[in-house]
This record gives sequence, structure tokens and C-alpha cells, in this order.
Amino acid sequence: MTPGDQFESRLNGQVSDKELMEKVNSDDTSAFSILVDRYKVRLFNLVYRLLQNREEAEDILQETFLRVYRERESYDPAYAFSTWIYTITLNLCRNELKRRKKFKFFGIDLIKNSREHTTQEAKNCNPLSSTLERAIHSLPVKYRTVFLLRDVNQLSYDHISQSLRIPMGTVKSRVNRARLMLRDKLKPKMKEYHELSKSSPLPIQLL
Amino acid sequence: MNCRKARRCLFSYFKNELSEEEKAEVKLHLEGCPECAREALEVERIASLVEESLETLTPSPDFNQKLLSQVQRLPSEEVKEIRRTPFSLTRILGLETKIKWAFAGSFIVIILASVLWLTHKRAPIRPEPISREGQTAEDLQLVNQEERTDSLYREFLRRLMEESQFKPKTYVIENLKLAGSRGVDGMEKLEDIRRRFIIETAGYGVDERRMRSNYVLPVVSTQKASAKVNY
Repeated sequence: MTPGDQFESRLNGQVSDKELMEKVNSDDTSAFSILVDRYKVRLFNLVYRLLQNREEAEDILQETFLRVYRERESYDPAYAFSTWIYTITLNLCRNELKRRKKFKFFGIDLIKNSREHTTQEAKNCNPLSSTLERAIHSLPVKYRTVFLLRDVNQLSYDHISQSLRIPMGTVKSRVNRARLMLRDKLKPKMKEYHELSKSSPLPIQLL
Repeated sequence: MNCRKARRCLFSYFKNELSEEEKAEVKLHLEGCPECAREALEVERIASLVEESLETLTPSPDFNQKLLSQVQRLPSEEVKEIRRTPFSLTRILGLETKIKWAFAGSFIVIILASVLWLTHKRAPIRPEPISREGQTAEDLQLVNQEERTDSLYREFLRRLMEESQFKPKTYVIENLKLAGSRGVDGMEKLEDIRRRFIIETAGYGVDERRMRSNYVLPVVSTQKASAKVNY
């Protein structure tokens, strides 16, 4: 089993990412469209939650797919396509965050309008969800990244370690740390919410 | 399993990331510890909140269309860097860092150069003040009389070298070298040196500028040269 196989899309009756990439290599844009559809939503959610800005998230997403297409020949099929595309996306996000830091240093705030977006989107869903979004956003970037990859995008620890090129132990400890931070942030709010709604506490379902 | 450890792996427990053994341990602990069971309830709520209530956002509906039109615009052969931001402040900022490094580099070079310059700068020549103390009339007489026996001349040189503030030793060596380079015979060399030595150091009354130019000469291979000077 090559290292890539374990992360391949396991959807039955579907063409695998690698087969699609082979087609993309021979300039098949329809195969490329399938790949885009397969990844755009999960990557968009990841990027959006990292950057907190819709337009920038779309820009990054577009650049990711453009790079995939442009560098299609440099893709090594020995590795999973998803690891590759996640690596590209995360690198672009990292650059963007670095750029913001520089701008911030010069007193220019690029994410001024991000709050509007968050509040706009928070209006049409449950109040705890917006609390959760805010709590996630308040995590330091390195913890936020692994948390999103693990608990929202549901990637395996191994996959995250390969995409971010950091040791698995580090990924595990960061995920755990992020979860504990999140718990500390959410605990008082959760209590408030549950007391207000007077809902009976859920029984612990021991697995 | 103690409470601390159990609480640390509650998330992993609900996320089903623990081994069967660890899972059984946590379960056992939760059954016996109401505190941790309450904590577990919180954690489970948060875990399910993350799983269920996070909204799934979708990119704008014309995303694919825009992307594909971009892809079609890509040159098929030449790989071109597409800048996401045409605004070039980033590039300027990149340059900014380069300038910073250039400044740092030149600063270091300047510091190094000035340190080298200071340490290698020749010490200013400051001849000792001419002192006539300890120089008897006899000495001066000796100098002025060219026709001396060898033992007297040797004695004169010895004393001159010991007492003189004008570094006659250096002078002798330097002139010996000069004489050698002219290819003069050994005895003649010595004779020549002796003569000039006597003439030039006679009287000690020469002015300071002349003293400097004539007597304060760089000491080159003192040991070797003085070994040759065998009076």
C-alpha cells in the first residue's frame, strides 16, 4: 500500500482522485471540474474559517485549483491527491496570514469587514453555532488549523501530519490543546445557554 | 486512571480515537466519578456541537465558471505566475526586507572595516624626548674621533645601544641591509656603517625631525640581522 492510498476517496462507484488527475494531465477539463466539485466545499470552509473573509477565501480557493491545474504534471501519484491539494491550500493560507501580519504592522487592517460576514451568517443559524464560530476564530492560528483539519474536515492525524509537514505527535498534542482551549471558552456559554433554554441535559451516551 | 488523565482524553473518547483498552479505562472511571461524568457531559455537548452545528458554507455559485475561464486562459506551454493581487505593495514589502538585510550587511561591513582600520593603523611615531642625561663628554668625544681601536668602538656601540633613545640598533640593521643590497664587501660594509653611524649620531644635537626620519625605522628581523652584526 503506497502512502497515498489510505487517504483516497473511498466513495463507491466513483472514479478515484488519481484517475481523475491522470485525465487532467491529458488536458481533460471535465475531469478537473469533477475534482473541483469534490474538494471545493470542504476547502472553502477550511479557508474561510482560517481567514474569516469570504472573498479572500474564494480567491485562495481559486488560486489553489489554478495551481493544481498548472502544476498537474508535478503531481506525484505515489501520494494522495488530497494531501497534495491540502498542502497547497494551507501554504496559500499561511502566506495570506503572513501578508496580513505585515499589513497590520503598517497599520492597515485587512480584515475589517470580516466581522460583518460572521454576523451576517450567524443570523440565520442557531446562536450556539455563532458562539462556536467565534470561539474557533479566537484560537491561535496553529491550533485553529489542526483543529479545523481534524474535527471539522475530519482528516486523519496521519493525513494532517503529511499535509502540514509536521510530526504526528505534534499534530496530536496541538489538536488536544485546541480542543481543551475550545472547551474552556465554550463551557460558560454552554451552561448559560442550557440554563436559559431549560432543556434537560443529554444523557451521556457511553460508547 | 486518575481524574486528570481521564479529563484530558475525554475528547478523544467521544471522537473514538482511543484504543479499546483506553476506552474501557475511561468508561470505568466515568462510572465511578460523578465529577468527571459531569465534565464528560460538557465535552460531549461541545464535541457534538462542533460536529453538528457548524454551518457548511459554499463558495459563490459561479465559482466553477470563473475558475474554468481562468484555466482556459492559462498558457498551455509556458508556466506563468498568476498574481492574485495585482497591487504591488507586497512586492514592495518584500523589497523592504531585502533593503533591511542590505542595510544590516553594509553596517556590519563598515563596523568590521573601521575595527580593522583602528587596530592596524600604525601607531604614531613619538620619539622619546631627547635627553642628555647620562651622556658624558667622554661619549661625545668617542663619537667624534673616527680613528678608534676596535675594543673602544665596540664599547661605544654597546653603550650607545643600551642608553640611546634613538634606536641605533634599528638603524644599524636597516643600513646593513641596504649595504648588503648594494653588494659591498663585508669589511667595507661595516666600515661604511660605522662611519655613517658616527657622523649621524654625533653630537646628539640634530633636530627632532631628522631624528625621526633617520633613526626610527621599522625593526625587520632583528634577531637574524643582529646575529650577522658581529663586531
